[in-house]
Amino acid sequence: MQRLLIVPIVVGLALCMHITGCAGLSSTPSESPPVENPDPLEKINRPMDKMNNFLDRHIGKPVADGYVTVVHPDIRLSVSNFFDNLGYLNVILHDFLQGKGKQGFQDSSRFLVNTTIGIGGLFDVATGMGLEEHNEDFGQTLGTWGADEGAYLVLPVFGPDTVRNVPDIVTSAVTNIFFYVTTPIIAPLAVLKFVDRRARADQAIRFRDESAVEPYLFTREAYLQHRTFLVYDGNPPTEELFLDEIYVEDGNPESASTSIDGQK
Amino acid sequence: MRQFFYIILLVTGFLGISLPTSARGEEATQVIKRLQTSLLTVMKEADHLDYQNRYRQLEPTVEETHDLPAVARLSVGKYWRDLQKEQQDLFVKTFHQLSIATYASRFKGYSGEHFNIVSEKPTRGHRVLVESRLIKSDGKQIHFNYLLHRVGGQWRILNIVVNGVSDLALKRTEYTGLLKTKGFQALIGKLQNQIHHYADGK
Repeated sequence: MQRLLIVPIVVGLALCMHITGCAGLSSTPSESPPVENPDPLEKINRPMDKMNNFLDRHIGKPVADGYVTVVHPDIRLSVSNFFDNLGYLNVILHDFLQGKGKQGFQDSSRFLVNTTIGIGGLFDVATGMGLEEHNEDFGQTLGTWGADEGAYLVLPVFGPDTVRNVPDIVTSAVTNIFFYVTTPIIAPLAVLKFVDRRARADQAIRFRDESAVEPYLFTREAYLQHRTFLVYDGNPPTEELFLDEIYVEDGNPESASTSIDGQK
Repeated sequence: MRQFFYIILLVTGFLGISLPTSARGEEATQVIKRLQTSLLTVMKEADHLDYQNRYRQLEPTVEETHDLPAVARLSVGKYWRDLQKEQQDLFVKTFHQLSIATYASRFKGYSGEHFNIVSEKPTRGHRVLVESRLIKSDGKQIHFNYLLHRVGGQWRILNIVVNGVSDLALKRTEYTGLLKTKGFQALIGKLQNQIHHYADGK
């Protein structure tokens, strides 16, 4: 069992090193400088994004809408809780890998409480006990270790990701108990998990469709910024937060003092 | 008598030094509180306020608390210089309408939310960052951080960052991307479509 876990983790790390060239890892979270081209894979990302939107319009959304219409909200909540709990071992793993010991123990308690008192994760009783939910994954771990984000990547079906976060596909699969179980219920459960995720993402997707003037760019930009937010656990340094160069109107940093701020 | 005179002088002198806030202009935090109070009021009255009325009610507050012309210019980056005067005026006007329309469309229902101001601190370039949280009825918190700068002695919002996603950066990526690939008319067209979309049956 131990070897089984180690191999995918090592493979994942090697993959990341090769693709992002994350040499010179620092001990502070990644402070990625403004990248000249944030989307070097745009030529393959855009068609993939188009395909995903097509599949979503014709399959994903109708199925998720049907699910929302037919299934009672309380049951849908239990379904969401169940899958979130199942995936929580990955969060715990990355808590410890990021050196967040206290959070790691809190999250371990959360998992135990929800699995036992919460009856197999169906009920989220831990939040009410002060054990709030955290969001950690391999991409954030690598970011904390100083790895750059790597290229923006649109995965088939699953959508936005970054090259740095790709190894998380491995760890999240391997820390999920269903990886070790082979029964006929796996396939329908996997479908249900996907439908649940799509239903939960519906509001964000509708917001994007209503607000975006250029949906591909909107999604990419929002996703990448939110990932930075997650790496810093909601407290990114101001430089990361505000990308100072965008406040200079004519693009000339020397005139910053007489730019918009100079118009008093 | 002389002592009394000196005391009066001291007291009036002291009062003279500490100018009332309105003479100095509102503090940045007050500007944010004013905006958030206005948004919550509209949310609470949403049952009997249709889109047009929400738009009318929010317009003055949004105009006073934001520096919409500056945000409009920044959202197209280096392309601003390349636009003709008529195009610039049209863009700023459309951007203005879209900003208020977005607020009027989004803040249309109330379910126990409230805002908390967390901190106010100066940042680079003589700007100020006001951090706040929107707290929903289930306890979940959304980070609403505002970056303000001074215009004519008044603090005005330049950018809003929600859970790490910068509104200005988002708009800038989209608008410059569109300007580069499809041009000014396409951009204006899309913005005007959005305004109509918000106004129709919302």
